[in-house]
Amino acid sequence: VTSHRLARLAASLLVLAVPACRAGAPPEIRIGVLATYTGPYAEVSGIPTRHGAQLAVSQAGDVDVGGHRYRVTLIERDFPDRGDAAASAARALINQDQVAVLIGPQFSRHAVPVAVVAENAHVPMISPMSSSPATTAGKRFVFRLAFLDDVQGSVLARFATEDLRARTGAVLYDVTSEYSRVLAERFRDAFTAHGGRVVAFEPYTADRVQDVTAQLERIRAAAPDVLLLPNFPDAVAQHVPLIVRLGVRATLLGSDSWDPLTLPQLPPGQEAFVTGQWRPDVPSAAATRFTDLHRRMYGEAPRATAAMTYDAVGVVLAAIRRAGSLDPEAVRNAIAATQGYAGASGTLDFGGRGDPRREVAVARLRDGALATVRVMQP
Amino acid sequence: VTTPPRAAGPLRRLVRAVPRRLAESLLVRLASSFLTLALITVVLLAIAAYANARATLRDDTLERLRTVAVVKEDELNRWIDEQRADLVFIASLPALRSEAGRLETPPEGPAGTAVHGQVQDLLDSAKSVALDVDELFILSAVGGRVAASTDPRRVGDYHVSDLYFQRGLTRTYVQNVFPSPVTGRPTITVATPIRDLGGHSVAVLAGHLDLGRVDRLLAERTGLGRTGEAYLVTQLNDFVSSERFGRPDARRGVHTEGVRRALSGADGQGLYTNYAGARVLGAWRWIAARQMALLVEMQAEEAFAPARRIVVPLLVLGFGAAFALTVGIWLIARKVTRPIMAVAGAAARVAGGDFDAIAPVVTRDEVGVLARAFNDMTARLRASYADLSRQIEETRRANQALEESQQLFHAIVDNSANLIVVLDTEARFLLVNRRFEELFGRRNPDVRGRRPAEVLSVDAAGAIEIAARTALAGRPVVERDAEILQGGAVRNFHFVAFPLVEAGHAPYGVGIVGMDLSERTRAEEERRQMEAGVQQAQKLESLGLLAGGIAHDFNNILTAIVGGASLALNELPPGSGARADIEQVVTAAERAAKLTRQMLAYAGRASFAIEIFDLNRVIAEMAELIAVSVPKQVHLVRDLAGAALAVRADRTQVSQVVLNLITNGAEATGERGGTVRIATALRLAGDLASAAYRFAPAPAASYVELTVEDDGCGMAREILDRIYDPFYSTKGSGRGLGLAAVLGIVKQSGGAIRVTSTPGAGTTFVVLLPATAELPAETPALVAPVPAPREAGTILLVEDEEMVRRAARRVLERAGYAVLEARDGREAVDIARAEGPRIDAVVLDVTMPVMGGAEAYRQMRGLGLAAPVIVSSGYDEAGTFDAFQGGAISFLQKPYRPEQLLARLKTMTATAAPGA
Repeated sequence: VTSHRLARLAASLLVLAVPACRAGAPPEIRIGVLATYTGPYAEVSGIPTRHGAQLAVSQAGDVDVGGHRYRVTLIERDFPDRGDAAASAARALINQDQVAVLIGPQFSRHAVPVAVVAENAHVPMISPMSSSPATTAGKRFVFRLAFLDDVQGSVLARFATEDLRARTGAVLYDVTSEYSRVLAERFRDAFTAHGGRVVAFEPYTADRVQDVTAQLERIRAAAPDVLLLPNFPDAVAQHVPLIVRLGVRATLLGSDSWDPLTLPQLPPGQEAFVTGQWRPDVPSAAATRFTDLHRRMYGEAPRATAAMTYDAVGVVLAAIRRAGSLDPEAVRNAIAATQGYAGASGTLDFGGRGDPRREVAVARLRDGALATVRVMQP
Repeated sequence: VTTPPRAAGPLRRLVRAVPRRLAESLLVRLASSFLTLALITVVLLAIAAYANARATLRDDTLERLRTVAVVKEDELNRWIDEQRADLVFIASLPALRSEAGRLETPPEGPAGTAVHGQVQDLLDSAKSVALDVDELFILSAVGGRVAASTDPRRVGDYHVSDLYFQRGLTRTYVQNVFPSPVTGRPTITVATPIRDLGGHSVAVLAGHLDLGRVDRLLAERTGLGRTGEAYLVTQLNDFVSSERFGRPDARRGVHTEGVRRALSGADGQGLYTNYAGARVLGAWRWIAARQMALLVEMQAEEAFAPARRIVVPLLVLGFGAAFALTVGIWLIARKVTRPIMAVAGAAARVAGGDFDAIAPVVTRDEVGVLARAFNDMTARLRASYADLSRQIEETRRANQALEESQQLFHAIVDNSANLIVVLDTEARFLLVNRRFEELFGRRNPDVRGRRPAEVLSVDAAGAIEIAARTALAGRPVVERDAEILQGGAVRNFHFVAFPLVEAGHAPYGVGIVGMDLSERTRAEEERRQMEAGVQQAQKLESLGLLAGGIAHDFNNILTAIVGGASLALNELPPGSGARADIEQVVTAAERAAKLTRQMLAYAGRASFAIEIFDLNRVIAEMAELIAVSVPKQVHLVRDLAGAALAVRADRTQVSQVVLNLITNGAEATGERGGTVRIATALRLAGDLASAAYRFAPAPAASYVELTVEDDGCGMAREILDRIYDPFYSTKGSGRGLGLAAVLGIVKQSGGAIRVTSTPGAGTTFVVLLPATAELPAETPALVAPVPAPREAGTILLVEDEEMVRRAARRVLERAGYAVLEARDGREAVDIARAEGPRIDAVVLDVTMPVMGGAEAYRQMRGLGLAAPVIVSSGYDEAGTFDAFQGGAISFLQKPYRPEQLLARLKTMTATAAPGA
């Protein structure tokens, strides 16, 4: 017993001695940021993630944790577009980089496996953009900022019937993507419930993105009032010209995966209605400040991903400050208790759960410009 | 109950004793030094042995661990290769190759369902028989959809982007350990293409390997002891083992020295702390092909246990040997030091006074020489010391004899009743005895060396010096008488002086013995006075008897006079000139009665009606009486205590004491007048200086003090000595009985008295009476008797004295009573027998011829006479009343006035017969 005590005493003396030796270097809060910094999604997701996180850290400065000043360090991990690769990157951040919290990944197909890892390791995580219910379902340490896929599916159906007076609808979706599939199914169910009729429900698989002519011809034959494309920007970018070329005359509906900035292929005069996490045309003080900051720093308007990541990092740092500790349980509780956080993407309330209460905005996309048409309650 | 033993006590004593023993004993120092050195050697040896054994054990163990690690790596690789080969074999089965491409979602029609069922059975049996997999499943070539699986829940999932699917489409692929997207757990997946009969990939067969199997494989502890273990760690620091993964202390992976070194790509072994915080010996290997680290560890405690097992017996043996050697050293050292200690012991005994001590000569070495020399020295010392002792003893005896002789001399000189003085030839004091010291108040040391004239009065010095010079002048004995005035008295001395001569020499001094003749004279005077005192006492005794006898007759006569005079007064008209004369007769008779009472009081035969009363109140009631007793020019001061002063005594007697003292004081002031102060106070027994009193008072807790003080002429001591003598008076007019009576009363009341007086300044009498705690009885208010009509009734008047009887009869008859007369007791009894019922009251004399009052009373009561009896006597009540017992009875002192008799009669008859 005595030798144990002595050993413990010696250890505590060492622990005390180390900070004393390097008093100049403040302790760190390490934040792991998981995003696709390379590959096709770098521009629409990875780079905005980096910008949003960096802006949030520069705004926060050093953070006071329990009376000590902590420097905030961002540690990025890139990964190939696979769930297991995202999970591996998360384990590397947790086990090797020893991060206190995880920000990201943005896509549900990555966020769901990473959420499993974070939950196992008891590391708090916020995915800014993941909208799949599976990301946070049954987990204590995992949070998101986005509204859910099933919510935007039913919101789009309501918008189509109420605002666009649509009577018939069609869907073209990636059956291998859980995101696309859930959205498509929720839209179909809600559209039918609101009195509409789904005349075409056409799946495709991700390894055959370009080969959707057969599906579109069947859709054209059904002549729907609206056509929902709940797919990722690279797929949408290939499908829209095909739709125009084949003469499908339906009004296009898009989900939050659409990135208006990379959709120059939408021909002039062609309009679409899309849901969005971020409404730059309905400015709040926080949104305006963020937009100005982003323009000054990076010389361009921010994407939704940047705004949401900016808010996620802000929520995490505020929670750590409130908790006065880096203890995972304390930080997790502080995030869950977040209420009335005035973020760039809107006001955030978690109410003890992993999913925030959020409104869904529907905007008109035309000639590269986005204008909010209606803000809808889930 | 016993107190708990103080275990620390003996230990503390030992701890304190050890340093002292070390400092004092060569033996102890030698033995303890040797023991310390031996123990240090043993401990160093043990440490060296342990270190050596440990190093050897460490090398052996690490080598063993390394070997085990190589074996385990080999087993792991072989296991994975087996799984891979089995999977490829299953994928090549014709049944699967022909059907896999037709698996649809959902199965359509009976044919589709049959295909599904067939494939499902194949997968299930392959999993249970051939493969160690958690899940075995088939993915469609397009979309990577799960077409069939041993886990039906997974059917319909898409794995289009998963590495094993993409690679598995073209070749057999083992995806090294990665976190499962579903469970987050480390997973190894093997995938292989299923080709149709034409050689095209139509599906992928994949299996998640069962890592629990890996655990079991590694857990076979070949040569790893009790605590040995082997485990895999991923390159992301996660445990592969399904048991260890997710341990609360490994949520952020496992980070030990072994893991760190292995992940850096190196193989090696060493001592470090493992994931659970235990010190372990471990070997690590990086398995590049599987991208995993393999660790084989054993706890250092177990590995080094044999080293400890070597050391413990070594220490026990070493300590045992050290102690045995120490005992040996002790014994040898003791043998060497014992002769020295023997000499030292003998020296110590000699130092303590034992000169018979001899050091034993046990050796012939230096110590032996020392012992012999020591013994010689002791022998000489012994002889010298014996001489010295003898001389000392002789001197002591001589001194003792001298001292005794001197004591005898001093005893004789000091106890002599004579003055003894020794002077030197210059007539200076050499010695005076105690008698001299007492007489002249000069002590021996004060006078030594001084001349008589310097310290004594002229006549004393002269007498002594003359006697001395005469003796020194050559006269052998000089006798001489001298008168010396000392202390205000003249003393006669007879001096005898004689020269003090040592044989054959001139005188060295002179001795003088003075006999005090005045002591003898005084003794003779005292004896004469004592004889006179005895005579006086005898005189008083006979006077007392005389006074008693006279008083009886006197009272009878006075009763007749008062009675007669009173009756005469009543018959005289108010304006009669004879009235004043008769009143003078009554007054004179009463003064005579008072004189009689005082005589009786002095003779100790006064009547005492003992009661409890307040002295202050008595004095207050006497105010009028005192006023008339004291001349006008005397100023009376009353200084009475505030509270009541209860005493138990005869109220009348005490009044008389007060009155006598005041009268006495007033008379002392003489013609010119002065002040008499009466004071009372309560004194506690402890506050009294009882020695100053004439006699000791009766014991009591407190006393009432009566002080009567005057500023009159005072008294000389000779007078003071005699003031209580009866018939001694300094006043021409006095009878000399006042203070004698006071003394008698005070004495009989249990009190005490003292007097102090200064001639010309005044006299103070202080009387003490025992105080009582009881409350004084309230004196009932006198109800003025209603002048009643004539009384009716018959009175038996028994009186031997004709004069008295006649006077009383007339008083009674005039009051209306019928009177029966009897001359003595016999007659009274006869009348009582004859006329008993008629008699309402009896007035009974005490001293009568034939039969006395007491006997008559007894017989009359014996005849059944119930009437009240008034006993009347010239003697006092206390002496008389004891003879009368029972019935209604009352005492009336002679002489009495007629109204006193009538009042008493009326009271008695009213009390005895209320109905009459």
